[in-house]
Amino acid sequence: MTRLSDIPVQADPGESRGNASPLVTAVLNNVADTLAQFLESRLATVIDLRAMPQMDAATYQSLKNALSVGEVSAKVEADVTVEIRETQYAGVWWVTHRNEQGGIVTELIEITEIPDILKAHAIDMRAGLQRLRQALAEPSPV
Amino acid sequence: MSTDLPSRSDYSHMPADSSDGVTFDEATVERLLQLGISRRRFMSYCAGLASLLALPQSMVPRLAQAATSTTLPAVVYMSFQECTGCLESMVNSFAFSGGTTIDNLILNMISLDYQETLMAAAGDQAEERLLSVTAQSGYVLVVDGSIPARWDSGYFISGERSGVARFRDAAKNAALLVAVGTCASFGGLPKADPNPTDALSIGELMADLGISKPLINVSGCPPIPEVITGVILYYLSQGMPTLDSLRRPTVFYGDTVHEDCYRKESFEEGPLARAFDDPNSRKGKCLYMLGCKGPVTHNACSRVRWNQGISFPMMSGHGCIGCAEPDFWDRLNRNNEKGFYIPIAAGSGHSRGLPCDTCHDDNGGDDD
Repeated sequence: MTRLSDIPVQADPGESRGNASPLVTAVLNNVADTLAQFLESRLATVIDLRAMPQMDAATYQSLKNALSVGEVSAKVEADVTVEIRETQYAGVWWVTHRNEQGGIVTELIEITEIPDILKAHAIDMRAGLQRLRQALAEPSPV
Repeated sequence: MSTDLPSRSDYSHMPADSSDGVTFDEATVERLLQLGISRRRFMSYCAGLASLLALPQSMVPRLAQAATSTTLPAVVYMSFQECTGCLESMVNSFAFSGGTTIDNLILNMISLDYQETLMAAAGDQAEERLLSVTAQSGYVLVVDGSIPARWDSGYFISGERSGVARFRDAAKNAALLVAVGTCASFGGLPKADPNPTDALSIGELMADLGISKPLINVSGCPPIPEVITGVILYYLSQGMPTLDSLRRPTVFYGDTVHEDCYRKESFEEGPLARAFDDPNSRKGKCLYMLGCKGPVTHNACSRVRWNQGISFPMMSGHGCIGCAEPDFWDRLNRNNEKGFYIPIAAGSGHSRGLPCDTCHDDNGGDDD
C-alpha cells in the first residue's frame, strides 16, 4: 500500500534565503517592500498572518525567529489581551490579539511608527481630562 | 426608526492592506464612549473580525463605523417551524464578562422592529406592529424556520394566517432576505422524512411564490453566533457577500469543517479512531469511522469554534453531524444507511484521500 508520505516530492526552493521556507521569504520580502514604502509615503501597512496560506506551525515559528524581537514591547489589557512587540527591525511590529481565554484570535505584522491600538484618541483624552478635573475638584480622600 | 439601509461606500480603490492606519473616526469613538466600550478592546474585536471575514485590516474602521452607526437598518425577524435555538445562538454572540457587552452592540447595529420572542408586544398588538413595519419598504427580513408548503394544511397558523401568507406578505417590501439556520435555509428537521408538514426552505418557497429577491442562507443547527453577526456586519460594511451554490457566504462556508480540524492529520495517514473513547480517539485521531461528516460539511466550526472560541464538537470526541448541509438528518451513508454514527459512503473516500484499507472497509460497497 502506498501512503502519501511514501511518494517522493522534490520541492522547488525557488529564491528562498538559506533554509527558510519560500513563504517566510515571501513575507520578509513583503515586509521589506512595505517598510521602504512607509519611509517614502508614511502609509501604514498591516499583514494579516491568518490570511497567509499554508502557514503551519514550523513556518510560523521560522518567520517569528527571522523577525526576532526588538527593544519595545507593550500589552493592552481590556478583557482581551493584545501583545505588541517590535521586531528587530524598527517600525515592524508583531501584534497578537488574544480572546478572553487567551487563545489567539489573529496575528498581524504592522509596519508603522506606532501601532494604532497603542495611541490614545483625542476624544478619550478629553473624557479623561474631564474625569481628572472632577476628581481634582472633589476633596481628596486622605 | 429609519427603514433605509446605510449607504455602501466603494473601497475598491484602496490598497489591499495599506491605509493611514486603523484609526477610528471621532463619531465612532464618541459612540463607543457613550456605550461604555473600551476603544482598544473594540479595535481588537474588529481586527479579529476582519481576519475572520478575510477582509484587509484597512477595513477595520469601516467595520467599526457599521457596528456603531446610528443609522440603523430595519430588521423584521420572523419565526416559523423552528426551535428558537438560532435566536438563542445569536443573542449569545460575543458575550464577554463585565460591563456593556459587544453582543448588545450587535443588537444595537440593527433596528429590530419585529421579533416575537424578544419584543414586549403580544397578540393583536404584535400583529399590528408587523403589518405597520412591513408596509414600509427596504427592511431586511430574517427568517428562522421552515414553512409548510400548503397554506391550507392546518400546520403553522399564527395571527389567523398561514405560514405561507405571513411570509409572502412580509417578503413583499423586503430589500434582502436572510434565512437563519438549517430549517430556513434547507428545510432542516421539520423537512426530515416523512416531512409531515410538507415543509419547504425559504428559497424553495420563494421560488414557489415567484419572489425574486436577494437571499442569504446562514445554515447550521444552530449557526455559529459569530457567523450570524459576522454576516450582518459584513453586509452593513461591505454589501452583499459572495455566496456559494447553496447561497451561503463563502467567507464562512467556503471550506469544510474537516479542512481546519486538528484531527485531520490522521485522516490521510491513519490511524483512525474506531470506537468512542478508544486510545486513538483519546489521542486526537480522526473520527471518520465513527461517522464524522466533517469532510462533506461546509461550515466554520473548526475555524471559529463555539462558546467564544473555546472548542468545537471534535474536540469533545464527537464527530460532526453535518448540520449545515441540506437534508443532514436523512443523509444516506455507507451501505445506504442513515445515522450520525454511520461513516460517509466509502465511494467518496478515494476522492478525499482516504487510505485504501479504510475506503474498502465496507464489504465491497460502491467504491470509486
